Amino acid sequence: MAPTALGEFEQLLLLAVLRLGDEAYGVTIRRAIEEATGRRVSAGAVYTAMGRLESRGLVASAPGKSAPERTGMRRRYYRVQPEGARQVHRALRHFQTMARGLMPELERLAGQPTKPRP
Amino acid sequence: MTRFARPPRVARWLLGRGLPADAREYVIGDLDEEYLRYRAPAGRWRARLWYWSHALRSILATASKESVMADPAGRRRASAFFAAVHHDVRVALRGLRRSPGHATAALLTLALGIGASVAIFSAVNDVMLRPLPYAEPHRLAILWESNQERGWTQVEAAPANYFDWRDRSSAFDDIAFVLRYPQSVALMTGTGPVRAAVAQVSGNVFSVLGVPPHLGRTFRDDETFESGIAMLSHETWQRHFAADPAVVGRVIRIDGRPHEVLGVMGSSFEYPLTEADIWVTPAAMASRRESIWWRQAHVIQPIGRLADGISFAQASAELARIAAGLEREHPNTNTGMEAGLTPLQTFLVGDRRLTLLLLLGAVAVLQLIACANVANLMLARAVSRQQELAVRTALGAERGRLVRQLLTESLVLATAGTALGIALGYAGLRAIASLSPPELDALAFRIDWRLLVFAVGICVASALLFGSWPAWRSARVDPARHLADGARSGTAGRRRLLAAHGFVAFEVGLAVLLVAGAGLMVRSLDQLRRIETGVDATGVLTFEVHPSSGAYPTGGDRVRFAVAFIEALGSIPGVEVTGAARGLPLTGYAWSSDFKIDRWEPGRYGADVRHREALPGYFEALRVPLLDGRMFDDRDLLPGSPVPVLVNRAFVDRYFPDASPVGRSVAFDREPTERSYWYPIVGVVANERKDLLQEPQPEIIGHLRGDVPSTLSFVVRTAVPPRAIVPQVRAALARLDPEAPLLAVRTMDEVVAASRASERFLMTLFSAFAVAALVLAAIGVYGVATQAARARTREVGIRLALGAPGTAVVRQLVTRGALFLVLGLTSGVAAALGAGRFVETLLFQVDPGDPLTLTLVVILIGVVAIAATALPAWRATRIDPVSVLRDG
Repeated sequence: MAPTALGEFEQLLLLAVLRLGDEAYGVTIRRAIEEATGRRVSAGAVYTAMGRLESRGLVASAPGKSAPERTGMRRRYYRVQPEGARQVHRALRHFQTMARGLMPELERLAGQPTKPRP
Repeated sequence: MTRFARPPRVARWLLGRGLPADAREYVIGDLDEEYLRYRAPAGRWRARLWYWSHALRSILATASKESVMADPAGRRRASAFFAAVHHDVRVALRGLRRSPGHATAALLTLALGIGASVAIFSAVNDVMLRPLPYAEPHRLAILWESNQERGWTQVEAAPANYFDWRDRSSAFDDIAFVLRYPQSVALMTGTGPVRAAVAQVSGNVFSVLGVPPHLGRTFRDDETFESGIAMLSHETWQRHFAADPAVVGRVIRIDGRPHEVLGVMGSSFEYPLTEADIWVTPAAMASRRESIWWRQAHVIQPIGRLADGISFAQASAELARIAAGLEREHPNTNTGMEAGLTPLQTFLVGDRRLTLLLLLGAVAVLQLIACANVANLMLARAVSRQQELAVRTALGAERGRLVRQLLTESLVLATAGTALGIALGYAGLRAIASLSPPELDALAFRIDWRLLVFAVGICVASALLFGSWPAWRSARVDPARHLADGARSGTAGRRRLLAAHGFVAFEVGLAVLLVAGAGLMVRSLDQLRRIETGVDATGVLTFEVHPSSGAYPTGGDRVRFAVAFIEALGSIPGVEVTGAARGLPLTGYAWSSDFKIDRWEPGRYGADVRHREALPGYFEALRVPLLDGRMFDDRDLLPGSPVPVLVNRAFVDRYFPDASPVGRSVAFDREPTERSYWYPIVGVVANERKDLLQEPQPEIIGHLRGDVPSTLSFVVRTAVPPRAIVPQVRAALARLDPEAPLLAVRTMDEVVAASRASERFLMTLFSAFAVAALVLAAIGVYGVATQAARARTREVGIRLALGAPGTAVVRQLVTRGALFLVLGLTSGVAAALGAGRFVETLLFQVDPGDPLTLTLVVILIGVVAIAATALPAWRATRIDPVSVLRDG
């Protein structure tokens, strides 16, 4: 499949999965993105987007255990595939290259100090 | 685990339907997991809201990107369907815009009907359908006692009986109790004393209800008779303690006594039946544990939680067995005493059930009238669209497609009407709530899924009701004929008119039903106004004072307070006479007990006579005349003098039909002993009603000195408008007792009006519905008469040209419509007679089939309908016959 450029949301998803390691499933991914960006994300949106990434071979998934607090429903755990890592790495490198040395100017133009994200 | 522990069922069901199969398990699991984590910190309502919004957004997200978009065939199918709907809606909107008058009339009519329905349903929902905010509320029940001999049905229980039930029963997890009735007390705050309602509850009440505190802890079971502890309501905590969490553990002054605050309840907590700002334990009761009072005073209301797997019937049977045992063990106090229970929700709904169902029925009728009106409007419009429909049929449109198009128009109309109706309903319910009596309190317009389902349901049902017949009728066009002669078809028009007349007859019948209902309510209220209350209410101010127990600890102190306060009030300009008593007339306030008169033969006693206490000014202020003997006077205040009583006229009629009771004595015991107190009867006063709907009962009125209530009711007759003296009264009270607030300030006229409040409320609402029904029916009749007259324009023109007098033509046109009018009126009267038994219990001394009311209603509606028919007929005769004949 021809590599298509990753969308911003897809980059966020891939980074979240990487960051969460073995604990990457719907709830934790959704929360990680909401906490980092303050953007409201629905469980359904996470699931569909992850499905798209999987069909492009960027992530792999496997059903995990069920839990009583999930009313018996199973979780679906995600892992980033090498191709996914390559693509997100490339995208971030492009960003970094373009942003190098611009932060002071950006802060001045935006009128507020940009805080590093945790 | 409470019912709220589970994610919202409806949302979950929607997810099961709306999500693609492969996503279902994982997305639902994710949402459930987060819901449970979110519920504790956020509160269940916010968590439910969260769940709902995520469920809907998830369905949308998966629907747009997965199922429809991924599968080209599905996408085509879906988009074809949406395109068709979109097209229909666009055509419908265009059609409605083209005839704005018709659309506006239909819209307003629908909004009126739907608004009324939604407002009343929201009240019904609030009172009857919404689950109570306690853990597993379906397991809670109110326990009561009944005694046929005493004429008690489902009254409060005696403490001793309650404790025995609790010990001996196994059908309940636990039983708690609340002391009826709440007291008004002074709560000391940073800015002075405020009035607060205090309820005394057993230590286990919060655990029986299964509601945790917001802060601190609740009472423990073993603290029922501890003194000096209190729980605050959320509102009290916020309003008087600035929502300070440090209030837990602090000592506050309630009624001049220190109490430690143990905790604060959550904002949604409300004790059923008894509103309270503060909860305390009934510590004072403990001292009477050994006395006969413990099994005699029916003052507590027990509330039990059924054990798991036990039904109400099983618990009730067990309770009856225990009560029978107690009857044998304590014949003195428990003879004839039965015990039973009522599920909490049923108990709370109580008498309101009938009122609300009746109102719901009334709005349903109103909504039907609205639908009939709109159906007629649609039919009338169909005439002007026959050309269009004929063209479309000729071009190959199927009938089903046309019907769908027309129904879409109805649905668009109904949707707009519902939206407008909900806004109207909101405004309407606020108006209703402002005049609703306390028994129907908390009429809140809260939107929840039940209300939404109801609104959507009524919207769709209305659209079908008013839309389907006209749609079916008008889609059956014969293109050949319509296109050939450019449309003016006598026969089709006549059949359509027949249908229109039918709708009108239906409407008139329903209007009769509603107006008759309103008429009966008006008559009933009028009967209530005629009741002789026994007091002269005009020009009297009433209020309550609860002397603080710090300044006035004993009964003697409170009598001194009352006498001093009455004297102080006497010096206010405009005050004529002041009195004090336990409770006011018409407020239903009464204690009762058995009694014996001296020199009655052994074994004879009077059962369950009402008694209360008063100071002499009370009778003067309310102008209750003395009929015999003497009034209380100054010598009765002397220490050591006997405590006198008065009896009322009804007492004399029952117990002394031949002689005067003055000079005899009464003891409040069935079998007096040496320790019994004999009260001399010094006089007889006229009757006054304790309860508006009840004939005056025999009553003994003791001098206040004998038994001083903690809350005194004052009555002040003034020569000036009663409310004008309130500031001086307040100042006088502050001088005598700075910690006591002035409570329940009302004029006696307001007290009397309050006793008729629920009847007036029903009457007002029904009248509003009746007026709306009458107006809608009149509009309907007028509309059809206009069509009928228009259809006969030619005929009228010819007859006028031939020299017929205008009045004769009008008469003939009116007579044609009259048949349907008579049909409507008769069926309406029949329906009103049939429905009569539903309103019977809500009427006072009015027969539901009251001939006068029904006759007046029939005349009223008949005249309105004939006027509405005659007006277009008369206008039809104003035409110029020549022009009609020339154009026709």
